[in-house]
Amino acid sequence: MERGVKMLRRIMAAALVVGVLVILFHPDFRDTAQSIWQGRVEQSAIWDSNRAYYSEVAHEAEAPYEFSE
Amino acid sequence: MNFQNKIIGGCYLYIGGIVLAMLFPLDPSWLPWLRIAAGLALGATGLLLLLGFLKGERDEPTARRALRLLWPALCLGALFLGYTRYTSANTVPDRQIGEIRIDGDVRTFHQTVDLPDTSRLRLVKAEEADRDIRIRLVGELDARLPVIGDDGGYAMDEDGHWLFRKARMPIRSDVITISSDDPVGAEYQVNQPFTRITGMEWIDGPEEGQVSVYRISNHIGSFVRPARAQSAVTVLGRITSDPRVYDFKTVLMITPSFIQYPAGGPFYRVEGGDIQVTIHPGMDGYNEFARTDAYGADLQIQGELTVARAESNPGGFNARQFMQNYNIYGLMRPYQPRGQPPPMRFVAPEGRDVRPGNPLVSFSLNLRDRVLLLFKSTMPYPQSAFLGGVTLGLRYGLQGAQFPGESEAGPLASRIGLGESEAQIVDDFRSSGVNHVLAVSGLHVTILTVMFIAIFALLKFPKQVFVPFVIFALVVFAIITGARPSTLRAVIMNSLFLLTWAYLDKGLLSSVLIGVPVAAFLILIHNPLVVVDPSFTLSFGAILSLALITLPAHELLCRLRGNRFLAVIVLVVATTVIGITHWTLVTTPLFIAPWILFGLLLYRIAGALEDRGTGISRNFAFSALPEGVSTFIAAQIAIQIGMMVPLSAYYFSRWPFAGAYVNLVAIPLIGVVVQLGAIGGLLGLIPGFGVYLTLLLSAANWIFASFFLWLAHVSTLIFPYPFVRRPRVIEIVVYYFFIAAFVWHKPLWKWIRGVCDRRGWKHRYAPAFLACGIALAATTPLWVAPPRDTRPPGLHVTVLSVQYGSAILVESPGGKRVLIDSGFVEHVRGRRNEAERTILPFFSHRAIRRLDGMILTSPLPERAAGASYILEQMRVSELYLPPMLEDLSRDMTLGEFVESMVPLETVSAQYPHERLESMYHELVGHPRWTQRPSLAVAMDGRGDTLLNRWAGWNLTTRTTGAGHILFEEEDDDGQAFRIEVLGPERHHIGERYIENNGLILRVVYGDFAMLIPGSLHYEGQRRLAERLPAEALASQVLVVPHHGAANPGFRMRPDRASVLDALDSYTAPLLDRAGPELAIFEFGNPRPVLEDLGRAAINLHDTTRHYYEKRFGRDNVLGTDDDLAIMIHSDGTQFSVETQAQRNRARGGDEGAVSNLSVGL
Repeated sequence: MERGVKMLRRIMAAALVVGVLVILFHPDFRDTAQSIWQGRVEQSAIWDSNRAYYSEVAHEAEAPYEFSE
Repeated sequence: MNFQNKIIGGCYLYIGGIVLAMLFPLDPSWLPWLRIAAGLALGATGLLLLLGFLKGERDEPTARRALRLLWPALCLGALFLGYTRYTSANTVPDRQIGEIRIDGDVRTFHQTVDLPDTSRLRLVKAEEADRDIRIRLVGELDARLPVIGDDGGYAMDEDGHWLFRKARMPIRSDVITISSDDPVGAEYQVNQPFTRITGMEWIDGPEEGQVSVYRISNHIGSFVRPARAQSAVTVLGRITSDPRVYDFKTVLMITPSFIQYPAGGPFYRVEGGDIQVTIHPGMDGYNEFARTDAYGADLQIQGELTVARAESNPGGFNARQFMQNYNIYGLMRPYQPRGQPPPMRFVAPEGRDVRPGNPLVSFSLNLRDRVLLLFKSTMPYPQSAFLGGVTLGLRYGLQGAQFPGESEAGPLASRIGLGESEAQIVDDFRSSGVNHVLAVSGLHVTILTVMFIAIFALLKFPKQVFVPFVIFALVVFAIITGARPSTLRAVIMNSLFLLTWAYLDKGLLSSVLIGVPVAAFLILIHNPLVVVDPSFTLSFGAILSLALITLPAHELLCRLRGNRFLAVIVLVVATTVIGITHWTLVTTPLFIAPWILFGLLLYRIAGALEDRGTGISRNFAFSALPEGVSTFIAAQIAIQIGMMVPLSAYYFSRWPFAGAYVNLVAIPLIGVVVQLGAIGGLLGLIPGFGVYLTLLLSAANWIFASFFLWLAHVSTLIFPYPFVRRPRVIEIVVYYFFIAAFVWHKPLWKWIRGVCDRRGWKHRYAPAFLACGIALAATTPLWVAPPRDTRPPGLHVTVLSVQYGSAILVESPGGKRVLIDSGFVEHVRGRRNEAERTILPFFSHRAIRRLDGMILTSPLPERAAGASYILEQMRVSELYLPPMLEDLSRDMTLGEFVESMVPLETVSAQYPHERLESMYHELVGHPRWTQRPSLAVAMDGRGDTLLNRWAGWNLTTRTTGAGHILFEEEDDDGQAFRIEVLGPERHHIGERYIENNGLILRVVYGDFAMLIPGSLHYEGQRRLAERLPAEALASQVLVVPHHGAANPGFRMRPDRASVLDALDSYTAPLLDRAGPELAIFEFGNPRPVLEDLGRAAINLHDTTRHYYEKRFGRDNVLGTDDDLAIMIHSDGTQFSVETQAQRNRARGGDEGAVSNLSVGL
């Protein structure tokens, strides 16, 4: 159990450091952070890349995604 | 009294009962007796257990006697229970409700059981009769008339019950004629439904006779009809699982309550079986169904109720059985005609909203959607889809996603010199052996269990307090991920582990030993049909491998140190490199034997050097690795030998070579990805700042997820993903015997030595000899079991069912195997690869690893596109091409290719550019997707090099034409076998150049011949008839040229009259000359091949088929669309035909059957 706790601590610590770096240096993540702050997540680059992925799971304000075959 | 052993034993015996029921099935009429036997045995077990408890302290002899009897009673009870449960789940038997007896002038209908509801009936002839029996059944029908609500749909009451009015009406069946010519046991369907039978009308018949009356179960499986005998039905039911939403369709699982069958007929109360409904975005109201909220809703659907196909080819995938294992017996694809109302609508109970589903399930699915929303907001696609797949079980979201390697510098694989692959991420995962991470299983559940324990431990909660919360979280996780058998197994086992750990203070091993059988029992008592499902078997195979093989494998590896350890590393690396660069070499006995000798020699030399003190330090050892690492490596080896090698070959006919190496990184990596995903998803639910925490963790996870996708992608480009011979069940049993001997080698060796001592065998090697003797005895089943191929000698031809395409395997009396054409490969949309999906699995099933020849009759993609895939996987000695491919080479440009193949510009103009381009891509290569196999590249790699010759991998390519004789041989009776090439003569210019210049083959054995004209068009058919005499064309079997879909002109919609005219003018002379008795259409969905012309091809085929049926009789025209694979056997004088559809029917899978359904295996 102690080993699990130690491992989880390490993973979380590393994730926080890496996460900060990615948000600082990756434009899409930076843009998303700003979009969340401004309350317009559905306009971020990341959300845009996910628009067609499980389109029924969407923010309430967003217009429904239209399918084309 | 050791209860744990009894529980373990009871669970395994229950599984044993299921296996017995599969191997030795009994008629369903035995079910009542089986139930009584199981009940008595289990009752006795309970009584003995009670007696043991009660008498335990004060009457020891009685208690001992009771406990002695407990084992046999438990064994019998568990075996009978397993047998009964499987038999009852596997069949839906009709119930006999009475008999019609004829004795002189007395003719009575004696009813033994009342009908429980409106029912369909069938009669069974029970005794011989010297005259036809003609009767009617008379009774009443309580017709259900649905109440129509205000909105025009069917109505429900406020409790959610469907509302009907009942109309009672007298009913009389049609006259039922039981023919005196029919054998006893013949069945007769009664066309009218009955709710009550009041009597029988005697019309005419013999003096004596007996007829049994059966009620057909109202199971949904009895209402389905095959594709060509459809009738629309109305179903009233409920959505009972989470809708599976793809970007182009949604799949709903419906549990039906009532079915109106047929349209306008009565409503029957459904007694079992679910329906899988597939809807497309074009339907009005689609979005209402394509969402999680639809779970639990009641609805009415109109449409055709059909059934999934059983195997189309020998050894193929049985979709029907797979679905029935999950209680899905019907398929519907509701279709909304233009201007008509939608065929599906929700129905709400009176005065209420549409019903939600089970509260716990609804809660779980809502939680999943909220977490998915967070993933979509904070992680770019396709990493988000990967995270959704491994954390939330949404693996369908990855369909269509490609590796995100594109950049300005070009795709990543290309940049590191590996070419470009158009493979999707799911393909990468499959071929790199990490696909298991998408099938949520024990790995995920264990990762989450450890994570939750760590979080609670971090918060200083005592384990007795937090364990119930962890179990609840695991249950929610199981629901979210679809509650597949693998997830359920893991959740049950982890829950048992948590409970024993928290409250009984037991360790992991103890919980695994009891957890495995208990989890299996709980899953199989609910649904015994999943016992052969890959999800179940692979999951239990993995956990048993981990629990049993890891330790002995670790001990064995820990013996390796110094020079010997180095020698093993060198051998493993060298074998891997050879496997990557020349896979076929490592599967060649001519390589394997000297390689093993070399390995043993190297090991001995390394040992000898070490004994002399030469070499590296003995501290260089496997045991010197950190314990976690060494155990993990041992566990991976355990999984490979215990599960992947035997079961992957058995279920998928392939072995992901990369998996053995990639998983060493992928498994720890997936632990990080899942934990960060789960923690990020849960933290994101905190209002306010939660989403920022998710973004932070997702940003980090994006790195790990991207690395995972890269790893899978690159390893796919490096490692081969070979097809392997599919083992027989008996071979797997023997394999596991040896694995068991390895696991328990210590007690086994002790026992062997004990036997030697007791017998007085003092020789030093006596135990080794005895061990070898036992091993030899263990392989006996392999020699005494009937061989895989028990067919009679002679010529065998298998026309495979490959949709609109062709693949024919010819097996000569002398054992030569020749494949004629190789099926179609679709790279976009459906991505249907007939070579990998049908032909190669068929070869694996038949254990065919070498072809003496492959003949491509035409460069058309429906005939030649699969060739490169087959050449990638199979040893082929000779390849024959039509003359127009004489100059085929990998350096050709598209222009050169077209010019070499279709020499005149005016002729090449007859073919759409896309079709010529498609041929170029398949035969020469794709300019962008350089990783895509092509015929020219495959031929190039099969030159006459030393390595290729060593591996039997060299290929001789020739072009052939009229007058050539291929693969000629003579049998012991002097009957000759040969493949005659009847065409093309010299290149002739004319319309349909490519079609009319393909190879025309005639397979001859003795007096039997089969004509295979390939894609020959009308003009070519007449020329062939004019050119050759009747004796050169005479054939008993004809494979209809051009799939029976030749278009007499170039119009999109050829009219029927012109087709019939062309058939009379061009085809009839050929048929007159050849005089076949049997015609075979190689047909299926033409749209992937012909695209816009697909509709026309279907009409052309229907007209042509009708023409042939009129000429030969319906029974003498077969098609690979309906009859599936067609197997022809000839002894040189006569021939016989068997179809895969007949085989399926013989196994109880008759698509038209309405009674005594046989399901599962």
